[in-house]
Amino acid sequence: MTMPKLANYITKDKIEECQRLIDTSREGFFDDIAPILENLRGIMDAGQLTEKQIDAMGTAAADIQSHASLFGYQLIAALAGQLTALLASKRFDNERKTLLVRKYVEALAMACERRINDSGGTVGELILKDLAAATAK
Amino acid sequence: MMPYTVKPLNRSAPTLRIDKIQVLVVVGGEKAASLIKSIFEQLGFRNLMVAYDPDEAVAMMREVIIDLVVTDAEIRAAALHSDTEDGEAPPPEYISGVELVRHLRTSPSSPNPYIPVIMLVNQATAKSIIDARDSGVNEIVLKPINAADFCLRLIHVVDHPRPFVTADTYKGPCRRRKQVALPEGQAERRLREVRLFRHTHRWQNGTL
Repeated sequence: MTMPKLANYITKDKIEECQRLIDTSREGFFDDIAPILENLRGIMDAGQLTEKQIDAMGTAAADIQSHASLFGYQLIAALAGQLTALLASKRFDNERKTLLVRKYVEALAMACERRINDSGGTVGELILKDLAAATAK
Repeated sequence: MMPYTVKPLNRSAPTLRIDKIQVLVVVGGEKAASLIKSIFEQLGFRNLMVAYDPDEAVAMMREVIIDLVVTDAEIRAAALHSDTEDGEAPPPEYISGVELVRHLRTSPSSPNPYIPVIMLVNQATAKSIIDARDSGVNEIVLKPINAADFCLRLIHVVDHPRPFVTADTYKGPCRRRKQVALPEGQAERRLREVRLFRHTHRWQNGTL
């Protein structure tokens, strides 16, 4: 007995519709994450971070990282990934962590404002290197 | 004698119940999960679950019978806890997407070592591909995500399941895509091979 194949169900039309979903999501990426970034900036303006705020920021950063990486937005994904790790890190005191997190949030906001949808070239590399060095201190 | 009736055998052609396939999506955030879920829904899948870290995924697999896992190679837990207070190695309970698959394949406490897994991999570097392949994934989808490639990998997993092999250093779907003879003098490394037939899957007509 011939078994039915998934290939027969996944038609060309369905694949094209899926691609449209991906394209629409990609086109709306920067508008989608703008409010998240605004929220992150708002938290930073309040001063020292509380544990609850750190958790909320970690979730938001992980959300941005996974979403950006789906589209190959390497710089934004890398910044958000490093921010997630930084927020989870127990290596820094609150004051130092707040300072570093602010740097990452500003870098992320800048990358999103400029709609950098790749690695950001040499400037992107420098930003990542600079932030990594600041975090390593 | 008690009367009895004989139920006629169901001779109708089997159908593929896509809507019954239980898919678990393991990604780091809601927005990525939402997009992947939308893609599956567009294809006709209806039973979709989301886990935001590997621990949650394993816990869900213990509760519900999952037919297919789609996982990101870099999940939130992979980045989290990258260091500890004294700079030691990360605690073992936090695992990445690659480690999740390795756990599923090899751990004695795995909820299902044979579960088909599709992994979303960030960069097409040799290391990331080899890491994913050697962890025991069935298929790899490279990012940026593309519908045609994603569907092709999905079709491969469902329509052409590869034999599941167990060797000293590997457990997962056979990594040999081509049927070629062993090199001369090379002994067979596979200790065990389990052939997975499509009609044994739960989602075929009559088994669900």
